Amino acid sequence: MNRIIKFYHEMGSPPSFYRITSHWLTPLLVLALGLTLYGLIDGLFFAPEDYQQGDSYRIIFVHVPAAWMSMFIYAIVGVAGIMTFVWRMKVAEAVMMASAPIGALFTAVTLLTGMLWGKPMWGTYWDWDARMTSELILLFLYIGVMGIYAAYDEDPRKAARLAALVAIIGLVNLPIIRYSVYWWTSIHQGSSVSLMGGSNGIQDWDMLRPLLVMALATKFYFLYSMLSRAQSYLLKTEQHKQWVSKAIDGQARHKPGVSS
Amino acid sequence: MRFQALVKRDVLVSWRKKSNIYQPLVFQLLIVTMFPLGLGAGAQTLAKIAPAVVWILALLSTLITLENIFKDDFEDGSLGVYVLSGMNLPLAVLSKALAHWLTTGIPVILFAPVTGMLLHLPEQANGILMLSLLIATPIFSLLGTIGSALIMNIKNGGMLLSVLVMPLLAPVLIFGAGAVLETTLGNSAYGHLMLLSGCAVLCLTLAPLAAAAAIKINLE
Amino acid sequence: MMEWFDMGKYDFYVWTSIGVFAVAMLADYVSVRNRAKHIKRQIKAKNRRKQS
Repeated sequence: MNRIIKFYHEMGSPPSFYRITSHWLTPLLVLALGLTLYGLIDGLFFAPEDYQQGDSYRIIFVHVPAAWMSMFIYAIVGVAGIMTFVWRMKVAEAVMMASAPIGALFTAVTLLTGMLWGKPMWGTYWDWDARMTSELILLFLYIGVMGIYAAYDEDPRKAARLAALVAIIGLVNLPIIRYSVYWWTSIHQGSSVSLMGGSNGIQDWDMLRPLLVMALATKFYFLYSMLSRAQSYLLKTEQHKQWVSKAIDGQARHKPGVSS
Repeated sequence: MRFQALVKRDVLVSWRKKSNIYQPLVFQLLIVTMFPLGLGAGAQTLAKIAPAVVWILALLSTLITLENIFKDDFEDGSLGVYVLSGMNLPLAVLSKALAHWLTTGIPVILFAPVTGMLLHLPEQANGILMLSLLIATPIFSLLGTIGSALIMNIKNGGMLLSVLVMPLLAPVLIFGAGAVLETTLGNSAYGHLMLLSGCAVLCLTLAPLAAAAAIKINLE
Repeated sequence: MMEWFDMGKYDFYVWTSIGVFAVAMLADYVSVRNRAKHIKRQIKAKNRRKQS
């Protein structure tokens, strides 16, 4: 137990966060890459065809993991936002601002792959169904968090606290959006063919396995990208501090051929 | 009592700036002219889209006024004085929202039947239209305080403000325009209006806190 | 070999989706690496200036 508390405190301080996570980056990237390759090959070539959707259902192996990530990452942005706002934790700030662009990217990927799946299944790229609509609004939430940060670029700490506030407001707002959008679609349209209609029926382990592998792969990739971005964020915002110079010079010294 | 004095001042300031009042109405009139020009003047076509258009116009025309809710007070330093004097900031926000609603919200409510008429909105929907706007315009003002407080330090923050408040306004639009639509279809708008009121209560309690937090960060 | 890549009539949709995913991840990876490199170079340059 003590070790966990110690770890938590260490992760809260930028220098130890930087030092500890530096060791994780390469393994995370290797895991992400390996799992993605395995998951995609398994999903695209070995998983059986869906009896209803044929091969088009294989989009699920990128679409659904991306969709899960888009929501999971917003939760992280929100929680890190609360930590930034309440405790003014520098590392939480870095995690929040590092996660937002990755979340936005996954949201965009979700929307695009959703559209590419919608065309053969619904006959149209875009349909204002509840999932797609709330995913689009989620993209606006991400853009808002990043936009407010970018607008205050001369004062990163203020920018981060305002971005945290926007993230928290979004976190409160998200369930209301989801609820209202579902309610809205249930009134305006009859139930359209659900994109996930097939997945409720996914019981075939050969179909489920690549999906879960891809879900894991995207999580690892997110961790890699987020930690690396957070490191850069900390280096940038703490440039004047001594630990930064030490960390950079320390790295330089390990590399042969770089004279210091 | 201090709250009353504050509201009085805010309303006066807002009232003197006449653009707050006529800008949304001129905007609505301009856009409402474009719809028949673009869509064709057929009464049936217009009536079909009227509930949504009237509502979206009310929302957009309010949106363009939100940017300035705090801007002047921030620039002339009176917001800084509020904070330094230990004033209850959420209360000051509430006063601002009230002043904004009185000068922008009420004209928009009263103008809605006019845009409705121009778009052939069935007359029996006017009551619900105004009622839904009566509940929703305070939400616009309250959410506007959040958006305005977030961007008051930024030049040309209007676009960012729209991005920030759009997700917040989406449920309001769904319930509000939905209420009018249901009425034109001959259904009861009760459910929509109740949910809209729920949003209003939520905004009334949370928005001043959020806006006050944004102001505090901005003035640090 | 080619039948491996055959997705019935859905070739375009499936492969474009995979492509979108791959390009997005790759672009993110490149931007992450560039960002790290850029900031480290910046700090090194600053340190050198301080030392000299």
